[in-house]
Amino acid sequence: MSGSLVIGYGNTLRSDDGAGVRAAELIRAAMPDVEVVVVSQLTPELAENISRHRHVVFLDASAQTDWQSLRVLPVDSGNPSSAPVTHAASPEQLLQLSESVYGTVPERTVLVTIPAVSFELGEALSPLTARRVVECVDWFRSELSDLPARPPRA
Amino acid sequence: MTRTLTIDPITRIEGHAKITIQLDQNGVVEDTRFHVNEFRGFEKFCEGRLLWEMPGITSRICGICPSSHLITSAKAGDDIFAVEIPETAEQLRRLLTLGQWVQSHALSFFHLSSPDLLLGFDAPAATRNVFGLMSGHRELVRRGIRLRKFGQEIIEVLGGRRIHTPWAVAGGVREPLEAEKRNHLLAWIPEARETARMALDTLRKFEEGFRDNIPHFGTFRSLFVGLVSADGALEYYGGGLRIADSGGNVLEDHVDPRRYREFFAETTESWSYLKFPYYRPDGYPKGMYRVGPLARVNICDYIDTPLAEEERKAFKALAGDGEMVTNSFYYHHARLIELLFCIEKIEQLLSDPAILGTHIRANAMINRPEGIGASEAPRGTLFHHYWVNEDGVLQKVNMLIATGQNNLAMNRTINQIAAHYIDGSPITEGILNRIEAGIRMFDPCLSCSTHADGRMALHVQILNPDGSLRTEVRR
Repeated sequence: MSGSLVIGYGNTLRSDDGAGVRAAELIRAAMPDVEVVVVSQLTPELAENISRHRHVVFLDASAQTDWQSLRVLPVDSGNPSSAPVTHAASPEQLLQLSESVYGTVPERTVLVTIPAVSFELGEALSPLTARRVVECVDWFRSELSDLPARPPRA
Repeated sequence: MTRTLTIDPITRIEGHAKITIQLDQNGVVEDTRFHVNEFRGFEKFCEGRLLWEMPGITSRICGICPSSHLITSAKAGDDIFAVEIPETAEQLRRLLTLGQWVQSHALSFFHLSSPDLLLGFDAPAATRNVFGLMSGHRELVRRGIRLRKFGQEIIEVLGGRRIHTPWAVAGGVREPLEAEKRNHLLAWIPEARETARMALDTLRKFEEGFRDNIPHFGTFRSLFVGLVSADGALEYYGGGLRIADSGGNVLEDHVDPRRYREFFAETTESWSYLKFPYYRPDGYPKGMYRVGPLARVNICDYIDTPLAEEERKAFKALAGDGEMVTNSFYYHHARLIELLFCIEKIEQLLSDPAILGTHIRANAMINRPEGIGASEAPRGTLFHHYWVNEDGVLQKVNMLIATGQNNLAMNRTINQIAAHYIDGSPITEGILNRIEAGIRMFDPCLSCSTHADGRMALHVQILNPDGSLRTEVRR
């Protein structure tokens, strides 16, 4: 099983909606050894990739307006979903697919939501979101340092 | 007392829609309607944009078949440029189109329709999904995910990303294919071919057990429309239009798609945002026609890949005597034949050294004020029609979308299913699911057909004749 997988998703043509993608691209530039995937939306076939990693981070924009910092939310595969998996899936559904199809889930999976205020047509981030996107890199470094060490190879 | 059943929204389709069923005093179906209640209006807001932007803009119509819009838009641009694109560029566009078909057809069968077919229409709604399939069909699900991934990888390898790639442009494509990436894609072929054959075998078994019900799932005569090659083979990128009736009589053949307006017209109904295209000579609504896998496999003279051709012959034998297979349920079957065709064709294309050519773009400027592009999207024939000024600024846009062209047929299908299963007895959830499944057979993409965003859930309402709510069910 590989190490960390970062999945940034969103629409980069709708301003802050692309925050997850932008943050993932910054992480890729800062840490070339980390596997980074950027997509417009979460699709079922990502489950296979997820199943091969022990640590998965989803990065997404959030339109919440009552907070202005990054939020780190654990993603759990334990809540069965009756919602259909079509061309778009949720992080929880992808974990469920990973578990049910491939028999494994990462040891740790989190969803990092980045506060987003503007969803207008355009590729520029709002000042708040741009700051939080940059902070994602430092957060991710910290996240990696806090991960338990991988067991030595047998 | 009459009453109305409403299924709103319909699940496991791309987009947002509802079905209403009007019952008479005896609880028998009086009328049915398939309503599409989303609207976005791409045609209008594309006005004023530059021609060169159109492939990128219109590919954003949909997250499922963006590549079909991309290719068709680029072809409309070719027409305005008045250029013939380089051979390699056409080969690469064909490859992208096939990748699009693979991922879309795989999604339709493995994710959206298999729960009905393998778990049964009456299985509990909470488990009638891809997770519910895991207990007895894990390998099929795993293979379905892999097959869709194969289609997505083709798109990603060519376009740089899986969704909304801006790779195709008027005059050709932006990037060639590297040998290493070609080899990577070729390595997928054996597994993909095996998965497609496994899916066909699975479907055949289901059809055997469901044989008595199939005639009630949208069996009616209609016209069938699609592209065929110059020698009548199944076509997906170029070729001409063929229009045939249920008896197998060809009404129009090898028609230049740029003449589409001579044969097709559109009208609207007050109760749906989805337009109602029809065959112009027959008028509305008599000019109902079907597009997509069922039409394509029906109307072509042959398929130029061996395994798919073998399957096509067996498929056509369902009707016999040159007739068309008129049952909409067989959209599933035709879709899987096409899936097999795609994989064989992808192997052919990738094995041709020409696919690695580097002359991939013809440069030109605005040479015509008007251009039309057509190709076969997963769900049927897709037309983009643009009018530009001398600077290439869009003055007017018309898009004739595959799902819309099946609108009349989808309405006819749900009416037939509802009329058969609703007979005055209590209406079960399984019956409502059969009616929904009637729409899913067409694999409609409502995001495309109304150019809108979509979401899924189910809301069933039974209304009294005065419109008041009698009872409702959500899931």
